[in-house]
Amino acid sequence: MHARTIVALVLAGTACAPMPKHPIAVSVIVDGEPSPALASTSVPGLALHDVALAPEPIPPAQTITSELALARKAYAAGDADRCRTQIAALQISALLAAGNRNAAARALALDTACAYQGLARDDADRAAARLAAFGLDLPADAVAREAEDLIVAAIERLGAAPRAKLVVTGEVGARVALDGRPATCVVPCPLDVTPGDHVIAVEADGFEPAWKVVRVPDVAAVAVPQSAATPVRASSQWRARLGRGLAATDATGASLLALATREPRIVYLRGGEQVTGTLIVDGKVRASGSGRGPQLVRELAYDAGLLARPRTWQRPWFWIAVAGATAIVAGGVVYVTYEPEIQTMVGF
Amino acid sequence: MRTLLLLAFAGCQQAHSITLQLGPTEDTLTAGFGCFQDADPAKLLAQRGLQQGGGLKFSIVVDVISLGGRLPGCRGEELAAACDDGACTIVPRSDGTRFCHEVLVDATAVTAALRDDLVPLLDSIRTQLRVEAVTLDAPDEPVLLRAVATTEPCDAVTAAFDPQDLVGCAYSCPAQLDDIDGPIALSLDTLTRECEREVKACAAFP
Repeated sequence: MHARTIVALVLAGTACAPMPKHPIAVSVIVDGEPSPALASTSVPGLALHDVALAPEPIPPAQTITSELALARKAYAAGDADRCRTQIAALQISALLAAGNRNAAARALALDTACAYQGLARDDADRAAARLAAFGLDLPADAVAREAEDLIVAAIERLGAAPRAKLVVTGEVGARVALDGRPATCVVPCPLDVTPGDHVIAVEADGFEPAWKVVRVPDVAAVAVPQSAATPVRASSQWRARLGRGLAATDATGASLLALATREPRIVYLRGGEQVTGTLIVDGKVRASGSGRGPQLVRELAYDAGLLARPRTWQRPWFWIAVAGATAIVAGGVVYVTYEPEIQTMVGF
Repeated sequence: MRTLLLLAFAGCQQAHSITLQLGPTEDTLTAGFGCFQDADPAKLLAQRGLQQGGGLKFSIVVDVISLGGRLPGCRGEELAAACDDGACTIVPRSDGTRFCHEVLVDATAVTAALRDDLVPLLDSIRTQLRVEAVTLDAPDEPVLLRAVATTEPCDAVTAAFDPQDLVGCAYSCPAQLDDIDGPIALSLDTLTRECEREVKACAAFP
């Protein structure tokens, strides 16, 4: 009877622990993979569900090489118009924004040669000037000597021209690439550039990459706005950070996980028996610690304020301790005060 | 669970055993059973139970007398004062009876006793009285134990003994019997062997 009373008290005490009216949805990521073990785990007050990061996007089929090959074939056949049509379809600025300077150099050299072959001398000069302005080297691909001379002359002209200032603004800390050269500086970024067209590309964790073509010295400052990263992009950036040895759940990592999952509350867990975990709320780290799965998640929820931490008297161990102490005191009182019944027989 | 508790309590219960002695030691007899008759100082009170052939026949009644929660001294005066207000009563056994046994002592033992060899007499009496306990569970309060020897048969014994039939009487000091585990000696508060009056007072107590 006493044992039942104690159990009832403990259950009542547990039931008194503050609970939200509706379970709070929390997404769980275990080392970036879904967790079957945690999916079946329940933490009172929380509705846990696994989320998976978007897989790495499959890179598009490489068409640039084949298009360049077609253009070169047309050039070799003396079909200058078809050659230039092929080159025009390549979007050289996009190639530079993607960092593909070699393809851009080959395309512009071929464009120069095809224009020269088509007797469009001005167009050939412009193509050579673009190549020189982008700071591209003359590619090894063979083109007509006259075309090569045009390119060399353009490079020499540009080398002698005075440089101009160009200030790049946008998301502070974004990495700036000039004409496809890797990470020249970070925003805000003052550049010394040659006159002509330039491709300014920016990229930052948590944002989609962006680029602009500017003409110097017509433009002295350029703002390159970036939109928030898509889940796929954010997943890719988060994985790239891990690959660079950066923390999975520092401020940027937490922000990327929030973008990648589009979930307001995320628990990121990693490890084996002893799990390390971080609770991210609205892209910010709110709590972190280590422990065992469900208990760790509950503690993180308490620390982050998602769940109200139960008061001392609302915790089962408190009642267990009270019951134990009561039993000890009662036992002590009985031990001190108990007088055993004495049965005395009298006889001869 | 309940059985376990009962076993636990049973394990905590203590059993004491008290052995009554009719004299200061196991092989002596108190003066309370050796008093001379007032009417004929040459005769012992015990001779009232003398049988043809030299044996003795008498009844021994042992009473547990409650002292009303008080624990006075052993002297008669102290006992009388403690029981002045009528608080002292005979405590019957759980079945409502008093301990009474008729004792028959053969002539050989009587003859030996007259030669101051009391062992056969006392052995005979003890053997006959041991067939039954005076009480199996003494009251948990101050009491005294009194043994009265009378020629009245047990079925004729009433609350008040007939003084003319008394053979002897002795009692213990007041005691809390649960505190004792061993022998208790019975005696009579007298300084002489002309002690029939004391025997009568003892038998009439309380």
